[in-house]
Amino acid sequence: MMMNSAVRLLDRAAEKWPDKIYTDDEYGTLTFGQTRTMARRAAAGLLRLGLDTVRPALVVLPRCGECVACFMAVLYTGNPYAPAAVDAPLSRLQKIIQNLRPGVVITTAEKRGDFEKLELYGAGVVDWEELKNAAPDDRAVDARLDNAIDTDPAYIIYTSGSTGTPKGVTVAGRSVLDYARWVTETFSFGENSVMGAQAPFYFDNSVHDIYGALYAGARLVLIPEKLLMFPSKIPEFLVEKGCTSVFWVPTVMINIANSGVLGTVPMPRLKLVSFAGEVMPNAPLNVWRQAHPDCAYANLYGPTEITDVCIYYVVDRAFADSEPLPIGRACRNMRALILTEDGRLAQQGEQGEICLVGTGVALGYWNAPELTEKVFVQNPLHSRYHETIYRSGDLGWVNDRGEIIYAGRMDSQIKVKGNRIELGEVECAAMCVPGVENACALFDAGKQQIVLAVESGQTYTLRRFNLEMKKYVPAYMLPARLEVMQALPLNANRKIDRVLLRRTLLEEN
Amino acid sequence: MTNVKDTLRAYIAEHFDAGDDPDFTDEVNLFDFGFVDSLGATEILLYMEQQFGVEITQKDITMYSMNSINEIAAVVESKLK
Repeated sequence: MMMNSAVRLLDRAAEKWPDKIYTDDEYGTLTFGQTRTMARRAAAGLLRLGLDTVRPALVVLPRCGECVACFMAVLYTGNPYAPAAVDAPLSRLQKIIQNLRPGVVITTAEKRGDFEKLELYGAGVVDWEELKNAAPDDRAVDARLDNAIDTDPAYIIYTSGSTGTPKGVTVAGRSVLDYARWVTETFSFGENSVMGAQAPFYFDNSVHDIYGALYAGARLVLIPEKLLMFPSKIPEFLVEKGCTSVFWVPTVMINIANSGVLGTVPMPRLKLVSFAGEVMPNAPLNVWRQAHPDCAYANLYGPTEITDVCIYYVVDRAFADSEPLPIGRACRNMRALILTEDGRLAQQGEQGEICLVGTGVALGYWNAPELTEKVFVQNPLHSRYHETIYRSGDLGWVNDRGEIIYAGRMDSQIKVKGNRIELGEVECAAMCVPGVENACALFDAGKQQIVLAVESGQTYTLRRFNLEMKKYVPAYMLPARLEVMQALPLNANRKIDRVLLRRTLLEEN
Repeated sequence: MTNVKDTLRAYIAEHFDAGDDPDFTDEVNLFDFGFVDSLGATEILLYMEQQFGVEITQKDITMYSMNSINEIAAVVESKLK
């Protein structure tokens, strides 16, 4: 089969394993065959609506197997899909639509009304329930798919932008295909694997889950979002679903470790625990390793701009609670360069910016050439041919074993519960709250939470303030602490004095 | 027998500082309205399990909506029958 699109993996899986279950979610299950049938019907429906290329589809559906089928339907039309959360604030959806200029918006019947309030720039809004039952037309779908090439974009995932406008990371089909194969081969996934998955689909960790399971013929178990609120109940869920592996953010693992449940629920089938999205401290990992010593533990690293993961480390030795866990070595077809400020390759032990080259590097930010040019640049080490590297803004260094150690950020991007957040976006939202004259968001690294200082003559409770904030940003961007001031302190340049604020509010020295 | 809803309401009012807030009703979504965070959810569950000698399983959490005092109380009450 010609692998010119990521959706070819679905055609292949449906031929090899037509009646095998692909997705298992809180609403039910779908086999590989059912997923293909549904996706091809929906694709035929989209083509009948006149969806041209390259016109992305904005997909706003609950996280379930049918949502995966919808992504595949969009790929069948030769277009990229852009997932967004069903509970995303309307103002944020508007910003995404303004940048994306979708050819179509696919959502539920009950969400349709919301989109009538937004400027869609001519895009139609389609009800998924109708679309998935459209009359099939495989000839039209195959004709469109035959024209696809593997450097066409497959998906666009929006990530926080420092100016308050989300950035659409655009990833090619080729990157997805290569990554799916790497995931399957590296972790030995196969037909008997049952992969537990936590990531929301608007988070790039889901690429590991959706395409890893598709490549391997594995069953993908989507851990219900509401179960994450009750970490002590998650092991019981993994056992009942027969999960052989699980992939999630460290926060979930830490919460489970802290709940005291580890060791009380035997998980004999679980062989692999993978995590990515933020730093994994060794203390809770050691609790896991003691309770479940037969599991392999994999620390995965990768910015959204690199098709999920580009550096990985499978834990192979003991670590003290206070030691950093390495992020490890580059994945196949990826190369990590640690570049110093003066543009040379860092020596062993010397800190520099983690930069990445290879198949996984994204095509750039959708509809944002200036932003793209800033971080997707020619490899500064040579000018012999075009070689785009991605400057991650992450700092790192290489230890004497050749493993990369993550050492923080160069800017004000932070991670809360695995979610990537620009403090600038939090500040933009705060400025939209009535009565706020100025705002400064800080990250309290010790408590792993956002502290917001606002200038206002009014008084607010944190809870009521956050209800306003939720009109503009997702819940994970809300501050855990609010300080209302008559005036924010300014420095000599008449800018907000962040250093002083940090010192007074975060008890830092 | 102690009333499940009263016990639950009193616990949240005291532990999450919600008692005299006009938004604090039996129907309000405790999470959406910011009364309870994810750590609090576990505490509430544990408290109710201990108070009423019931076990709330992962299936209960997955199958039922448990976002308000009414909804959580309904799940606990169904276990007592």
